Amino acid sequence: MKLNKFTSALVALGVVSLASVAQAAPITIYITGSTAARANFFTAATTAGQIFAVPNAAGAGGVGIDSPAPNNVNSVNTITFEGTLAFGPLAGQDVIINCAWTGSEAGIASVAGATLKQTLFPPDDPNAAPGGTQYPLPGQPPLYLTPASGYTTTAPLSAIPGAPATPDLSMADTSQRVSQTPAPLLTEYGIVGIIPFTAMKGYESAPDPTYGRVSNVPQPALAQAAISGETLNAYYLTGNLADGVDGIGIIGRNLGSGTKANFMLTGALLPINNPVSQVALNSGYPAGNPGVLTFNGPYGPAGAVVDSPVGNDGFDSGSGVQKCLNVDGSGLGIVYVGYLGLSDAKHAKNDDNTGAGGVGAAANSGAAVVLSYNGVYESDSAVETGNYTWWGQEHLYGTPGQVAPATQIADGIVSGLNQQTATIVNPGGNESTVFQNGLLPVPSMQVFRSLDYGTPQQGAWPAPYQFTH
Amino acid sequence: MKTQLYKAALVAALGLASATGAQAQSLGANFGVGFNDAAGPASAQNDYVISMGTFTLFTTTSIVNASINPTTFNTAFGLDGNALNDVAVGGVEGLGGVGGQMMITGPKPTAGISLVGTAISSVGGLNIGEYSSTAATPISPWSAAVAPSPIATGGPLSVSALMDNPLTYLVNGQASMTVWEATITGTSRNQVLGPWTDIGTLAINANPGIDTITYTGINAVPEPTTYSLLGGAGLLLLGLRRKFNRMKNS
Repeated sequence: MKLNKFTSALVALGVVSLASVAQAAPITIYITGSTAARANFFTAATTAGQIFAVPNAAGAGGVGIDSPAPNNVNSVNTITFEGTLAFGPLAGQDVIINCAWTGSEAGIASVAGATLKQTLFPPDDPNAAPGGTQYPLPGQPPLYLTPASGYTTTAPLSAIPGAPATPDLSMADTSQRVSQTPAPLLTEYGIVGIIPFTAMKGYESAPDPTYGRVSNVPQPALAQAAISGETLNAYYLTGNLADGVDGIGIIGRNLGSGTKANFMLTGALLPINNPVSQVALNSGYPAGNPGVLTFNGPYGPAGAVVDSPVGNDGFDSGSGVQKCLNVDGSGLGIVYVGYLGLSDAKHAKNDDNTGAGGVGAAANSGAAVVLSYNGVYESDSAVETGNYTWWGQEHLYGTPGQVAPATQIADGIVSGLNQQTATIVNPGGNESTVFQNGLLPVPSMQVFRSLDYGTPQQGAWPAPYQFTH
Repeated sequence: MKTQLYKAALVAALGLASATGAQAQSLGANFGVGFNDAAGPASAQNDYVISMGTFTLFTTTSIVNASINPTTFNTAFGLDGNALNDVAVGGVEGLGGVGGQMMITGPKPTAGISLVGTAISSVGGLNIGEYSSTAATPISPWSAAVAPSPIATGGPLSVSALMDNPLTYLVNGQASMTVWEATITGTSRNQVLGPWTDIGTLAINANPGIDTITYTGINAVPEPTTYSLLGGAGLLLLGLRRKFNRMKNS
């Protein structure tokens, strides 16, 4: 462990013995997976007594954060944490957790040693061949901030000396069983929390009456809108016969996303692999990165906004969805509906889409609006009581046949996340009025799913749902 | 031409297989031929779905060949003593959105864009390979997404529920079906489904030792190499006949 100023001070005060400090070099764990859970992981890794007993006080990016700005906020996809592990047989061990959040499905695939690919077609992706072109999903393989660069530039694990061939761990919004990579069987650490999702409608500076009436997404209409694309009339969301002129455009994520998996399995209630018809605003496929849907901007004015069908593709991060929802979609004859984890939903609602950490509004952008699902807004209470059913189980997985010390560190991370979720306070209200929690503790649930899809059942969560190694 | 298409189909199939590894592999925008056996005993009620390659291979002038894996076919339906007449087969493909299309075997479809769009989603998400006809998530079975048999309807979003039933029973291990195609034009908001066009024939021969699937475009003509083979065979027959006649006359 490097002796930072804080640790040196603790040593000087006798709080920490030099023997314990000097006991071992830091162990680096590479983690990937869910972008929806990254904000909670950030909190757990930077709050003393959760994952780390003592987060590294001298981190270049702040307490517990080795990566300097801009990779030091809870909305980034690459970040490096460091501290002394709080729980388990390795408690006190200096651990570096190097994170590359690429999406749940991409994360499961990476830890399993597989590479997820998707086939894109023209005209959605003009770079693709007529019969389709197969591309690795963005984030495949994941790129990590490198120690050699002081955690400022990224590289694949294969280019980082001493790094393993695949990431050690992955957070995932669904189980491996329903994932794109059901084999080889990963090491299961269990469910670390419940992760809710919400639908939002995109910003319009000059909203028409139909836009105003879209306030709820019924599950059957959500499914049909996902399948049919913009051909579905807004009538099916409002029930108002006057809403047969505007269509519904779904803005969402790609194959590598657990948010997408939960959209299919617990939101729209569709088979997970059914192709959908999504759209994006002012986005495209750069020639230099031909298989990656990329938000180009600007956010407006309305006349400068182009609606691009992207078929079964979507963004590799929730921030792309959020940015599209902050684009001024007025006058296009479509009400845009996106689906997000609550961290991205917060940025969309706050119109945070520029500046460090995604804070601050870009020119012509505006706030997205939270929608209810089957008549109920997302809230801690509604999820826990089963009135709101669009949520998934956040899992932690390790490589197949994983052994110590990785298993011990993973157990410690689970314990730390449990500490974090145990501190969660129900804010009251709902997501449309008060920002709700993005990860809920399993013990608070009064309903459960024995599988990763369908309607929850009433009752406490069956134990065991976590597994130590 | 034929060789190139066959190679392309092989490359497409092998490429997909190698790329997706252990994934629960979906049909996507490939033409899938599915077998199931609702008429057989419960132990034989399985689905076997073969991807013949990307939709662009299937034109009015192309010929696309694929093989039935006899081991897999036997695993799926071997416990049905009358499998070569109980097993049903059909073919589907779909790519949604403007620029997309759907292909389907069976009677000429009449469904419009809204039903076809939903059916396309079900087709693209179904799993290829061999599995139980009632397999649950993460598998999306052919029997649920397309049809459980020629005389029954699948799930509410299935091709048979929304459009037509593309399946037909094998008769002594063989079947021949018309392949229909309609393309999607218009705009994202107002999609237009073109007319259903007969583009070719899908011929199946699941008899042991043959195990072939052949798509023949309606305007396909044999390649020169095929003519040569046919000519060679003709000359051989002629030679044999002369030899036979000489033997007969001597």
